[in-house]
Amino acid sequence: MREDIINLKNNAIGQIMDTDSDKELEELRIEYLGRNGKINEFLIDLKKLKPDERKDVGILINESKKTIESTLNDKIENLTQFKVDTKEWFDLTAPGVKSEIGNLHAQTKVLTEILNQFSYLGYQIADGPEVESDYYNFEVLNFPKDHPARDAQQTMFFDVTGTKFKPGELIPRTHTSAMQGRVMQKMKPPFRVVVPGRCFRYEQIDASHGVDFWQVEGFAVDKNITFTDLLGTIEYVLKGVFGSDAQIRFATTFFPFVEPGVDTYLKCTVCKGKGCSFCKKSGWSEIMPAGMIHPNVLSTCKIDPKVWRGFAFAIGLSRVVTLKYKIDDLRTLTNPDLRILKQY
Amino acid sequence: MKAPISWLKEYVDITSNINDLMWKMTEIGLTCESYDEIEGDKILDIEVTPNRPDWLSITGIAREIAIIENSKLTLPKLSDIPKPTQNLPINISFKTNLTGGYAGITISGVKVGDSPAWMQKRLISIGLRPINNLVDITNYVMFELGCPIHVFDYDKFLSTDLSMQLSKGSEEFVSVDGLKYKLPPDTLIIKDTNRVIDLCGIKGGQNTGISDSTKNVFIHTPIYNGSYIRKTSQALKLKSDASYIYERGPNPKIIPDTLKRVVTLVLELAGGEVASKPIFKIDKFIKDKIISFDLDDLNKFLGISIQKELVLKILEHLDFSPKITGATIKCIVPNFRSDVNLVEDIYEEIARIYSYNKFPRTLPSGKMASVKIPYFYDREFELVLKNIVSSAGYFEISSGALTSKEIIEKSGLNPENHIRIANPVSAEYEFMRTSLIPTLLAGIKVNTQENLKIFEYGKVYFAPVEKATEVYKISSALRNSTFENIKGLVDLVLEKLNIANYEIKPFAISHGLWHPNRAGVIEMDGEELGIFGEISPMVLHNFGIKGNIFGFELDMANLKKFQNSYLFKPIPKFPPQIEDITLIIKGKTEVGKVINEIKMTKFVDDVTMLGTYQNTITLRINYSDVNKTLTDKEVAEIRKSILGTLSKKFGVKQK
Repeated sequence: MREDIINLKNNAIGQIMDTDSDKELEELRIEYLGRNGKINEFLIDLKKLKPDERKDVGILINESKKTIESTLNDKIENLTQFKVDTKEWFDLTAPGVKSEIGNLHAQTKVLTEILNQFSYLGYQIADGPEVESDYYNFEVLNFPKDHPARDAQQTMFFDVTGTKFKPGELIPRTHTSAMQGRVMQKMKPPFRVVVPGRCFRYEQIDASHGVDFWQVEGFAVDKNITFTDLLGTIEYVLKGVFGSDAQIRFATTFFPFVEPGVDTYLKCTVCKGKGCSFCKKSGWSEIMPAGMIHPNVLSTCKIDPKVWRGFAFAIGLSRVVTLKYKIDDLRTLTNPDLRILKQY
Repeated sequence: MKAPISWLKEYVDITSNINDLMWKMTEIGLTCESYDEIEGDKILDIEVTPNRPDWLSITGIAREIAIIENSKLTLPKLSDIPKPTQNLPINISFKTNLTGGYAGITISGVKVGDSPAWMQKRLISIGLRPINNLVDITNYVMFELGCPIHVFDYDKFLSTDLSMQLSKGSEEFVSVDGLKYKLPPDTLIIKDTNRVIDLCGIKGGQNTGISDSTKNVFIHTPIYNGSYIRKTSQALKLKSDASYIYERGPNPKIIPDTLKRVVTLVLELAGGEVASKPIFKIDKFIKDKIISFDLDDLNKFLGISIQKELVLKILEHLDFSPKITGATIKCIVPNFRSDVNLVEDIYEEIARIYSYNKFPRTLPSGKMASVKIPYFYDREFELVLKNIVSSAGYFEISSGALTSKEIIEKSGLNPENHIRIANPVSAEYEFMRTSLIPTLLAGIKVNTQENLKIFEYGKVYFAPVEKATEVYKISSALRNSTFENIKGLVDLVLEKLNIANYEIKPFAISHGLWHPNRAGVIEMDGEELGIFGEISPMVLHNFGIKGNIFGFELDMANLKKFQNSYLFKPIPKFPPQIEDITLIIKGKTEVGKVINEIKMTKFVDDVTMLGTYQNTITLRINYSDVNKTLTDKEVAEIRKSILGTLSKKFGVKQK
C-alpha cells in the first residue's frame, strides 16, 4: 500500500507538471483530491489495515495529499501569474537596433583566409622591406642586369642623390619574391615560408592596374620536394580559399627564378567559366604563377641544389579579393567610401 | 607576337579547333588567350616569354605546334645563293667583338616596287605596314625565320669600306623614318667614312635607306650582343621589332639560311643579280650543348615515374636527339634552344609536353622548420589590434603607400623626411608616406557621415633611403567627436594589450599634423607608443574638412614590445566599498595624474571619473581587500591618506 501511495503521488505530480491547461488541472484536482478522489480512496482503505500500521500509512497519505495540493496550487498560481494573452498582436518584423561595430577590410579578411591555408600546411609568415635592393629584387633571383625578363616588372627606382648607391640600386620592390633570397641566406632548410606584402610597379593606374598592389609569396625548400608537391600545394590553397569545387589548370611559363615554370589558372568563379569581364572572356583567371626554385637561386643563397629542392609561388592578393567579392575595378579596394567598407 | 593560322599552316598541319589549339599552346608555354579574325583568317595573339627567342618567328611557333598536333614541320625550301655575276665590292671591318655572327651580300639591278599581295596581306595581318618589296622581304623573312635583316642602298654608301664599332657619344643619327637621335656612348653602329649609317639592331639610317630609285643594295643579317642593343634602346627610348628579337638573343646558326631565303626572295620579287660573294663571319664556333640526366633523378624531381619510352619520344619530338645508356639519357640541345642549359630545363621540357595537368597533385611530406624563420611576422598581433579597433566601431580602410608633395605639405609634414621615387608614374605617387593620417583625412573627406570612424593599418617609411626605416602603424580618425572619445579609444587599446602606466606628454617639438596643445605623445619607459589627439585645424583647412577630427597613430612594434599577457585574477570574495568623492582642482592640474596617484594606493581597486563641474571633479573609488570586507573606519583611513598625498603633490582638496 505504501508503494501504491508513493506511485500515486508521483503520477499526480507528473501529470500536474505536464499540463498548462486550467481545465485539466481542475480535472486532476477532482481525480486526486476530490471527495471521491484517489487520496480519499486510500483513506477509506486505511481502515482495513492493522492498527499498528495505520499511523505511519496515515501520515504518508496526508503528506502526499499536501504535496499534491501544493504542487497543484503552485502550478495554478504560476499559470495565472505568467499567463499571457495569446491574442495579443506583436510585430516581429519591426526593425531592430544594431550595435555600432566597425568592420575589417576585405583585403584583411581574404588575406587571413589565405594565410590560414598555409598555416595548416606548416608555413610561417615573414615580412620584409619594401625599400629593396636590386640585388634581392632581381639579381639573387637569376635576373641578369639588362635582361628583357625585367621588362615584365616595370620598375620604379628611388632618388639616391647624395648616397653611395647608383640610380636603380634601390627600388620599391616589384614582387614579394624579393624575400626568397633574404630568408634563404639566413636560414638552413627545411623551411616553408609565406610572405604577404605590398609591391610596386611602374603602371598607369586603371581598373586592373595600380602603382602598388599586394602579393602573397610562398616558398618551401626540403630534400624530397617534388613537382607534384608544388601542384598539390597550389590546389590545396586555392580550394581552401575558393571552395572545394574550385577548378584549376596549369600551364608552362617562364620566370628566371624557377624551372620548370608554372602558371595557374582558376576557372572563373564569377561566370563559372562561361567568360566574363573578370576573366577577359576566357573563362579562366590567371591567379598563381609558380615553379620549382631555379638551381641558380639556391646556389646564390648557399643552398646546395644537389641536396635541396624547393618550389615557390605568388598569389595576387588583390586579384583574389576582387574575384571573391566580384569587384570589377581594383581601385574599389582603396576607396574609403563607407558605403563600400560596410559591404566587406 | 601575332601568328596567322593560314601562315602557320604553310609549315604545319593544324587539325584542332581554335579553342583547343589555343589552350594546348598555352599549356606548353605559348600563352595564347585570344585571336583576331581578319578576312576569314584567324590571327593568334601569342605572349612569348623572354626565354624563347625562337618563338619570335612563325616557323618557331609552327615547330611547337607540330608537337601538339603530332604532325611534321615543313620549313621553307631554301635555294643556294647563285654565284656573283656582277661585282659590287663591299668590305666590313669589325672593331668590336659584340657580334655573334654576321652575313652580308650585294645585289645589283633590283627594281623597287610594291611587294606581292600575298606578302602584303601577311605583313598587315601581323601588324606591319607594307613599304616596298625590299623592305617587306626583310620584314617577312625576319618574322618567318626569326633573325633581323637590313637592306642598304649600295649607291648611297660614301665608301665600300664599312666599319662596325662603338660610338664615342653625341654622334648624330637620322633613322630611316626621319627621326633624329643623339647617340649615347658605347652604342653599336656601322659607319661608312665618318657617317653613322646604321644604329645596329634597332634602326637603319636615312642616309642609306631604300628609295624608289634604288638599284643596287647591300643586305646584311647580323647577330648582336643583346644587352648592348637593350641599353641603347632604353637610352634612346627607341624600340623596333629587330631590337626586341636581339634583346632576347636569336639563334646565330640561322644566319646562312636567313641570307639564302632573303636572296631567293629578292631575286624572285625585285629582280637583280648577285654582285658579291656572301660575307660570312661566325665569330665563335658554337658547340652543341650536351645535357645528360638520369631517369631516376627525373622521376624523383617530378614526383611520378614517366615511362622511359615516353620520355624518349618527347625528347625526339623536341629535336633533342636523345640517346639512352642504362638509365642515363644524353641529349643534344638543338641550336635554336638557347634557353636550355641545365637538367632542370630538360625536366621542364618533358613535364610540359607530358602535360602539367596529367600530374597527380601531392603535398610535401618532409619536416617543418622547428625554429622561427628570419623576418618572422606576428600577424596574430596585427589581427588582435585590428579587432579591438573595429569592434569599437571603426571601419578599416586600405590605401596606397605612395603620396604627393602636395599632400605631404597640406598635412604639415616635411617632404625632406620622405623617400622619393626618381621616376614616378605621376606627381601623385612620388613619395613614400610617413603617416597614415593623410589618407584617413582623405577618407573623412569622401564620406558624409557625421560620426565617421575609420582606421588603417600599414607601413610608413622614413628617409634616408639608404637606411630606410619601415614601421607598421595603426591609425584612426573620427569626425565631430570629443577628445574623451579618442582618449577612450587609446585607453581601450592599451588596456586590451594590458599596457599600464603609460604616460601622456605634450609634444616636445610641435608636430605639423597635430594640434599643438590638444594632441600629445603616449610614452612607455621613454619610448613612444604613439601620438593622439586633435588634428591641426590648419591641416583640416588645407584638406577642406569642416569641424574637428580626432585620431591616433600608434606604433605597432612598441605596442607589441610593451604588451603583457593578462593573468587571471579571481573575483573578490568580499564586496568592495564604493564611494564618490568630489575634489577641488587648481587650474592646469593634470587630472590623469591625480587619478593615477589614487589608483596606486593600496586597497584601491578602481577609480573612474563621474564628471566635472566648474573647478571640481567627482571620482568613484572602489576599495577592496582580498582577505576581508573593509570597514568604514578602514576606508576612512585610506581616504585620509589619499587626500594627504593629493594635497601635497597637486594641491588638491576634497570639496
